[in-house]
Amino acid sequence: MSAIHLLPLGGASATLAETLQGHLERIFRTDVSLRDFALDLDEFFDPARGQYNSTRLLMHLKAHYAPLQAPGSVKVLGLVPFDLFIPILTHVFGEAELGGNVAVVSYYRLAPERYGLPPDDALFTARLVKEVVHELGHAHALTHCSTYSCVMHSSSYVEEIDLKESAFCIPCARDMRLRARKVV
Amino acid sequence: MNKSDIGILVVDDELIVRESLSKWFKEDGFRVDVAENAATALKKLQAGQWNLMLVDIKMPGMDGIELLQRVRETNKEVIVIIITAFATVDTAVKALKEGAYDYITKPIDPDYLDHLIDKAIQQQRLTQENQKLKDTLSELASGGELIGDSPEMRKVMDLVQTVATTDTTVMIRGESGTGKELVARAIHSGSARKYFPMITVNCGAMTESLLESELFGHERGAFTGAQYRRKGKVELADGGTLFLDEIGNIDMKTQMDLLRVIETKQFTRVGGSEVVHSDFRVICATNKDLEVAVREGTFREDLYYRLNVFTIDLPPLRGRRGDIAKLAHYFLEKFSRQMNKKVTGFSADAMVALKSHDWPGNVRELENAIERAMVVTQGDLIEREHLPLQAVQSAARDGKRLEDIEHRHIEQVLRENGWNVSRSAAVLDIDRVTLYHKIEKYGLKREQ
Repeated sequence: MSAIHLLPLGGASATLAETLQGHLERIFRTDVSLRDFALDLDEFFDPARGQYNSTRLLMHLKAHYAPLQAPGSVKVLGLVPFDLFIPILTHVFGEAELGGNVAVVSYYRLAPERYGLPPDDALFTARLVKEVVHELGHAHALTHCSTYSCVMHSSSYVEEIDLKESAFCIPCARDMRLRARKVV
Repeated sequence: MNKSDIGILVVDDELIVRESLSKWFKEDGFRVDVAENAATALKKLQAGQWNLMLVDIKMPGMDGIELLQRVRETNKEVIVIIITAFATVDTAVKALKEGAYDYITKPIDPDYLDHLIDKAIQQQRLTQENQKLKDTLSELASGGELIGDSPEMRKVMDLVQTVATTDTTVMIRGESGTGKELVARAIHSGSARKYFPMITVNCGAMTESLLESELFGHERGAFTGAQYRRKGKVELADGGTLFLDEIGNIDMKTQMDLLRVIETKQFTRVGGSEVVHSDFRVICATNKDLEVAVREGTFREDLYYRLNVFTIDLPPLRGRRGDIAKLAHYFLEKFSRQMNKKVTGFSADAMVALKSHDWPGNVRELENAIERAMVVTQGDLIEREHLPLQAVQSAARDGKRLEDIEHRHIEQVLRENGWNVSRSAAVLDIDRVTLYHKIEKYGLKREQ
């Protein structure tokens, strides 16, 4: 399985990134390292929408993050605290290059207080883990899964994220292992 | 159906929109392609199999609405969802009028998009399933074949075709055994009511009270033994066709009730007060001279005119001898299959006998004769001696059978009483319904 580089961007919480690191190592059974990457997020900001363009951010990482330029198998995940969008949609929790090496996730819409509810750190972390695993699943060429409990099940609102687990269902896990072997 | 079997074509002049939506649907596992303008979209639509199109309303050249119109000219199945930057009532109404499934405004809520796509695909699948079921039903519902290519039978087929698609009441007249029910079924099968039942009521086989209950149903406790509410044939025919066979045999009270229900499409069950509605088409059949019955006062004139809107006269088999060979082979094949017997045809003698027989029982008699011959034959061909024609004819010639004597006696009494059925029935000391049965059985007809 490819190593994972976790990049906190735009002032994303390092503590959160460290928490994620442990979860990802357990789920993907691979090396997960926290990396620094200097990036001015302003150039991805759309003043008309007050959001950040995730597609452009993704493309920027792909083009400029040095380890991706060198041969080898590594998956990169950018973590941002801001709201992301792709131009046609109102928002996205994250975006990944399907079968590629790069993904981004925003935790802006994952906090319960965003919906007028009391803070709940455990719930917030659980949501973030699921979204990060989901986007990395796409980077491993997995598409959406119809199994409700599978982390690859599509979720466009937080309650849907809460319904699923942070793990891959058996067919998705097998699919990912097979694909990983082919890459190696 | 796997998602990878479902094709989505995204049509938008903006690259970023095409890429975003394409990526979004690919993550969902759909097969996706994009087109930057309407012309490319039309080419791709023609070249591939697409379930759904997402079309931007505003594009240079041909816009989304015009593209939708062009698509609808050749493809009724693909689902088109229009994307607009600013939804106005006008554009939305126009898009829907032109056959769009729905419209969405930019930027699209991803949750809404997911639901919309799921709903659209589900509806398409249901529509396709529905069409398949209809096709299957059409095959099952298609009535028995009307056999024959004689001019007389061609005329009947033309009339069936003409009247089938209308909702007109049809009266089918013809001797017993000429295939009146088969014609009724052909009319029903060719009508828009074919997915609903054709309910047959044999009016001649029931007493007055039984027929009333049979036609209109009854409420629980309406009479002794009515333990449950029962739907009548008129109610069961809702949406379909009510075929009233031997209409000339119904009593005056039921004639009145029937007239009312045909005119109002409303009735009450026996023993009930609730008004029940039923939308049905009436086809009736008779081998009686209803005009005489009207003159004699045994059949209501108003009902006669209500039923006698479009008449189809079925010729007796002896009047279309050219069809005998074809019908004989049709029944031969039918019974060969049923009995699993390999009989390939008729000997020359047998065919001559079939063609020269008078067939007073018409096609039904021919069918029975072939069935009997199929049972007794041991070879590949049906021979003349396998057919029951000779025996019947020789017995008839002797004229000593009880049936022959009854036949002659009834004919004589009818003649003596000027074919007045009521008077003749009184002389014979039998009821009118029985006399009608006898007249039908012996094929008695008033001499002109």
